[in-house]
Amino acid sequence: MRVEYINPFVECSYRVLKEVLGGADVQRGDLYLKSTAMPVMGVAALVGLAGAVEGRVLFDMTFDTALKVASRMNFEELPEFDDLAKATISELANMITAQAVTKLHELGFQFDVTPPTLFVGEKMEIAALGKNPGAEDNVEALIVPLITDCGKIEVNVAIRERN
Amino acid sequence: MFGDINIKYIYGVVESNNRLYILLDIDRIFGARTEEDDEDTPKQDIRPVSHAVNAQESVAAKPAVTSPAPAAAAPVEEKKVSRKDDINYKFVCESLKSFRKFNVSFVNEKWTENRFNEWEKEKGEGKTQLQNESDADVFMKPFYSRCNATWWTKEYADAVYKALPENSAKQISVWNPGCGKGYEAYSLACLLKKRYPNARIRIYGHDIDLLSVSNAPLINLPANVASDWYAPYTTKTVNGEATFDKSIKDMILFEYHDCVNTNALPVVDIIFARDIVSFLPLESQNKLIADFGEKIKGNGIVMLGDNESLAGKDKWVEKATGSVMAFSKQ
Repeated sequence: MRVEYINPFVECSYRVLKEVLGGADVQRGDLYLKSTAMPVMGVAALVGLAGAVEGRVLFDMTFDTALKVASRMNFEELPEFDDLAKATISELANMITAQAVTKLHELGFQFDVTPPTLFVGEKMEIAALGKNPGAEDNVEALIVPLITDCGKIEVNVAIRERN
Repeated sequence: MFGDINIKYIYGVVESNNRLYILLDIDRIFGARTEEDDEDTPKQDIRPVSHAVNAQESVAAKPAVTSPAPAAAAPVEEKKVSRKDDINYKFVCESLKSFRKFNVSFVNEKWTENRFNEWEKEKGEGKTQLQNESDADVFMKPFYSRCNATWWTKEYADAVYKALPENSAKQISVWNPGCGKGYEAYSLACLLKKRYPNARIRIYGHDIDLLSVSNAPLINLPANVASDWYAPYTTKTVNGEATFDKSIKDMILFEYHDCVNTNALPVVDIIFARDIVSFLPLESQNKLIADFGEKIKGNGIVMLGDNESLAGKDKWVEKATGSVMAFSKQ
């Protein structure tokens, strides 16, 4: 992953999350790379990227964390992970990605984002397959762990330049 | 018919008499060539490991030598018996793995065995064990390549320059895994610009150290380095510091990437991977070397560390130009 792409995603994830959680303490964990199929924690918001650069950004968290974040963002305690909560998490993903993309536009990288898609369920796995589907051919993803008082959120970025 | 064929089965493309011919690797497609077949083929002679010691002492040009003919032996005594069954040797190998993540494999076993023989003479028989990281560092010191993790000297740059093959392609791509802070990538960029002035050069510098690779695009040169052989490729910043000019910087794409993961690189002309394979787990070493085979063009070359070798594995052929060894596919 180009080094120029990393900072916008890391910075914007941190900044937006801190803002929407009302200035709460957000700790950024060590970044790392992963290339295998990854289990999803329970709630995953996915935003696609297309253009000269293609790929996706995934925001992964547990049900509990998603509900707490959605409650905080709506200024009310949501009793269950209903449509409002789902829309809120989707919007959070959209906000972070859009800000990161804006930053990247300013740096001269042009690409578009797709509307967010939310996946909710248990025992799900995310795999970004290359041209040769197989465990040994997954596209590499950058993982940015963010620790909040609502729980851990992982920003999972897998993008590459289109050859 | 060819719409869905995997690019790895395409051996090459040839144009002749206004027709385009796609050459297929039939052996690979029909599975006639297997891992066992590769291992059964006669092993290429591997140059004596201590050629790197000679290289340190002299970088004078020598005639290019292509194996399988054995090259001139370096004046270092070698035990004819393999050390693989020696328990002391095995303990040392385990210690190197534990202390310095150095994994002994076909890539570096000749060097390791020779080094162990020297170590044993130095320490005495029965006292060869590596007690701590400091011992491991002393043992490993001769392994590291010239100009490792630093700017290249003129002598080394000249030696690499002479090893670069003829290439009339309009675009030349280079993969530089383990680029670190960028010393290798920038040095290669300067050399390639000189060697192939009419080609568009593209260097992919990859490293798993995020801090190093993030700062690589911003690197400045010390004054004494900038005035050396790098001088024609540098410019001054507004602060008066020396940096590489735009044409050099534009050649290099630094990426945060683990080389054992899948990458989206195109096939490349040169792979420059010094002192990186030996520090990967064995399974990752095999995976990376297989990837080298997939990614390198038919006329491309791979350059490893001074004490690493691909000779004897999967039909890699070594060619020595002076003190620099390059490997190409047979």
